[in-house]
This record gives sequence, structure tokens and C-alpha cells, in this order.
Amino acid sequence: MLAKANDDGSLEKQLTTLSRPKLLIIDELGYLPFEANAAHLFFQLVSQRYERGSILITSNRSVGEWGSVFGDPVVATAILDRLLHHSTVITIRGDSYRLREKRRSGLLQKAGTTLGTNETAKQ
Amino acid sequence: MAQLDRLKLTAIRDQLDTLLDEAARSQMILREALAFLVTHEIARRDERRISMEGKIARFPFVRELDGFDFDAQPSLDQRQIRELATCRWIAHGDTVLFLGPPGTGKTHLAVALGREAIRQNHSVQFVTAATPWRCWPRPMTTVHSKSN
Repeated sequence: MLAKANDDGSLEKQLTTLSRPKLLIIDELGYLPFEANAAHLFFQLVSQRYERGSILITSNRSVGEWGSVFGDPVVATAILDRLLHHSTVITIRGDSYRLREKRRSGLLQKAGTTLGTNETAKQ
Repeated sequence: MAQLDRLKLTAIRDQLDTLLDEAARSQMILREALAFLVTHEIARRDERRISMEGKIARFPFVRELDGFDFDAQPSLDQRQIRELATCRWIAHGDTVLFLGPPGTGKTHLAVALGREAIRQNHSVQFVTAATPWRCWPRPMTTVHSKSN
């Protein structure tokens, strides 16, 4: 499907579209692993926007896990290299507000998973 | 009224009587009254622009920083978020990453900062990586801001 879309150039058009706005917000990175093609296009997107347009990413995966998200540690490293160059990384620890109510009422026992990286870094 | 229409001063047109009454009651001098009317028109336009740009950006919902419960997330530095709300990082083309488990307010913060960016006349696009690439916005859905 992806390869097919790639053939008629629609993904490239999409890439151009996503390169345009001054701020691109990418929510929930890490829920779906990227197919090889998509990871490469994502790299192109990040490269095109690098030092031109801002990107805001939210992810439930620590940066160290992005290798598996993109299915290729080399691509993930190249993406992270550009993303982290001028970046603010904010790591939120703590409880889910969605689950807090349930926990209070005794439906759930304890807080869930925490992330591997806990530092809040400004690079 | 026709002249207000022609100049597209629709906010003044729609509430002309109320506005003039208010100006009279506050005993505004002409110069003050003019500023009062124009401020009203500008406020309406900004509101419209933000709402329009918000639709173009495709936010999943409306959230503001004011509505964020910082007390519930003590690991967050509120000053750091306020610094991001100034949008200087966007002017520089920098990156921001919000990392954390589900339900800690990452998307809320992302949307709120996106709306802040629109207020400051930056064009914004919101996409979710929880859907595959081909479901991301198609060409022609992005419109440049700076239209005003």
C-alpha cells in the first residue's frame, strides 16, 4: 500500500505538504512501528524541516526505544541526530490523569510503567 | 451601516448600537470611542482567525495551557512550559519532545502550544503517528497563515 502510494508520487506530495507549516506537531509517535519506506520518508521530512520549521513530537517511548519504532537503528539515529540538535526534551513522569480517578476509587492498584530516561534535558 | 459593510467592519456593524451606547455611557471623547470600536473589530478578527487556523491545523480537540493541571504532574517545570508558550523556539525552528507514559498530558500540552503558535501567527499542522502515513493530511489541506 505504501509502496503503491509512493509510485504515483502522492507520498512525496504529502512530504511537501508536511514540510510547509512553521510548526508540525506529531502526536503519539511510537504507537505504530514505521514500515521501512515510512521511516525513510520520515527521515526526509525531518531533514527538510531541519533548522527551518519546528517540530513538536509527543511519544510514550523513550528516545532509546526509537530504534525499534523506526525498525532500523541507523535511520533512528539519523532522525534523532537532527531532531535533538536544537531541542528541548521534556520527560513527564507520573500518573495518568485518565487512570487517577479509577485508582482513587480502588479500581486500580498502582501506577503503571515509567520510562527508561528520566532526565529533563535542554540541549 | 452600508459603509461599515463596505469596509468589512462586521464586528462594529453587528453591535453598533451597543458599542455606541457603551461609549456614551463611559463619556468617551471621540478619539477614545474610535479606539474602542476598532479594538472591538480587531478582537473579533483575531478570534475568527485563531478558530479558522485551528481547524486548518486539525487539532483533535481544543485545549489551553490555562486548563492544564500542573499540580497533578509535579515532574513538569511550569516555567519551562511558559517559556515554550512564548514560541521563541518556533521562531528559531527548534524541536520540542514531550516524552512520558500515556495519560500524562502530552497531547494536551502539544495542542495548547499549537494554539499559542497560531495566536502568534505561525502556521501549524497537527498529525498523529498513531495512523499510518497515508492517512496523514493530504496536499491542499495546509494553508499558509499570515493572511491578515
